[in-house]
Amino acid sequence: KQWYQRRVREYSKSRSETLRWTQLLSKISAFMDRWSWENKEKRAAEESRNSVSHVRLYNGEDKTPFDQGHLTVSTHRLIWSDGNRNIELPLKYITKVDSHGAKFTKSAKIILTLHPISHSHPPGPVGSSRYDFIKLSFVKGGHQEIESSISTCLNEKRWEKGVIAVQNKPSSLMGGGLVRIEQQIESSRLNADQSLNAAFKDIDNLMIKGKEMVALAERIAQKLSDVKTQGDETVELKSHLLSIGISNPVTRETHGTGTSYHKSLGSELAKMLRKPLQEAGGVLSVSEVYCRYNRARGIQLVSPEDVVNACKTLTPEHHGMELKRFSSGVLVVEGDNFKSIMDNLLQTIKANDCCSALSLSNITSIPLLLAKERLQAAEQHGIICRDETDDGIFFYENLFCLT
Amino acid sequence: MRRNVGIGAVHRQRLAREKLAQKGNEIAELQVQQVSQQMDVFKKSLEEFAMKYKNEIKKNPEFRARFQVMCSKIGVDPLASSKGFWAQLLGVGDFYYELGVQIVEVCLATRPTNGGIITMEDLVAKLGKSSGQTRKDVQSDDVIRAIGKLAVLGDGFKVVKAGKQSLIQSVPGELTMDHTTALDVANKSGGRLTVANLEMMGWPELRINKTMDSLMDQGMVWVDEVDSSYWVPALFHS
Repeated sequence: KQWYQRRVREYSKSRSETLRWTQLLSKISAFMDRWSWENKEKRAAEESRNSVSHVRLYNGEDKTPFDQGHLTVSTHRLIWSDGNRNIELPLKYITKVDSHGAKFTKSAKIILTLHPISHSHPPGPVGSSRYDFIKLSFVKGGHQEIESSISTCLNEKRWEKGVIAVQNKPSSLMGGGLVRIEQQIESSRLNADQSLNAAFKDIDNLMIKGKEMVALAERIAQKLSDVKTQGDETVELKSHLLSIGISNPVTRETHGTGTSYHKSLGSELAKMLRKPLQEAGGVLSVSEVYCRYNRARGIQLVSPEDVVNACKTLTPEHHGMELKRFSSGVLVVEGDNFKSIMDNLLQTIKANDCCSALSLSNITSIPLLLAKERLQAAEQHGIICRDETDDGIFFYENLFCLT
Repeated sequence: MRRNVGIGAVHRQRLAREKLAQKGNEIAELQVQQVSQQMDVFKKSLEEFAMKYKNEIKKNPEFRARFQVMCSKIGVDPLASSKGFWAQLLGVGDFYYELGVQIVEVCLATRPTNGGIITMEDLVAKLGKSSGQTRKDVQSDDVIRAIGKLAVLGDGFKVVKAGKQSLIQSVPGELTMDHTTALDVANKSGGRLTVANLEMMGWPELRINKTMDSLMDQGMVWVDEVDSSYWVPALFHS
């Protein structure tokens, strides 16, 4: 009888066990189907990033019996284990990561939104899930670190990269040094992002202040141009306007060419350009002047407008050169030897019977553009005349005008 | 007794006018003072800003672009003068002026080949090569701004659009719509253009000839006499 009772007890125990298991299974049949039993094999280049204990898994909004477990975040998957059962979730299923902090009756939670299941998914606690998200509940804290680890691993997407990072990383579960270095790099990247955002905020604040000031300055500039008073204050105001970069026509007239800054810049330019001007046949385009001057200066460079304004202050008497504007809009600095240039031009043409812009630039080694302009200027003075053919434009000595 | 007639009235009016004028001057002075004060305050905040972000401007193109957009929103041109606040404190000027110098140099160097017109991509690539590290983060937005400043030098620097392609012109002279259309057509077939391409757009012979002749004059287009087609060196893909 005892034996029988024992057998019955054993039998009923095992029966109740199976009963319990089936009940459990039916409870979790609608459970997070993207989880699967743990595949103990480590993936290539996988590393463990973070882990925390006392984590409960939720299927959507429902609690599951997977409670009081140890959650590990690796570069490829999430692993939950409580000693008896080990299940894993590949990170590639996660589309979004959110979290709530701990509240009075509720623990801190991370919510992971998942991709729908694929057919090749290895078996797990099975069934199909109604929900497309799961929650991780952290009874003993640690949810923020886990959240940032998951986000980092999602960004890295190591599972897509295959076997690259294996060489110099020893067993991934060593943690410590390497993992910490990676975390530092990650946090400095996050910091850089945050500081960029802060920088943008700073620009915005600065600009708000700037806007008020600019509006005020403009109103006054308007009044001044109406009233036309000439006093010390107006001069000061105009230079203020220029320095904050408001290009007001009023400032440009009086301060564009007139300021001492531009005058002294002009003298400097003249000194610097004397030799190059000779070498270039007496003419240099203003772009070249701009380049040469700034290259020579190295730092604290000068704006194109300043260069042009400085050139405007050049006079043949004081500086031996001046700014000339052609009808096409081209600006050049010309040495005070215009007449001699024209004579040279004529001589060159006579010596070669005729010249095109290209041949002139080759013979006298001046840029093509300037050769063109010079020929046109000579033509306007009646010294030479042109012959337009299919082969191009040629210039001859103007024999029509010789009387 | 009537108030507003007689010598007394004239005197009164003159006095009133003088007083008003005086008041007006006082107000003007006050306003100028106000502006100066505001300017000082602004200058201080700008100095703080500059201390933090001087390097960012040089290194970070996104930051530069944002900064420029904000400046244009409030109506200020930070590159207008090298003596201004911005250039001196932030060094914004140096970045763009130097870029301008390099652009001029690249354009001058490539002018014999492409006739003074170069694609934006080509220019950015050449700029990246020309002075090593600091220029690797130059973007087309920076180039456009620098060219805007170079326009004042009179050499005809401007950005021209031929369809979807941005071209930088560095010679004076206008490119008409016909020119840019022809360049756009050439761009779609890797820089080659035939009379047939243009005829497909419904252009009469005279128009085609005129456009191609003027492009040739400017040196932007080469003729291939073997198969009577035209090539635009600027649009060759490397």
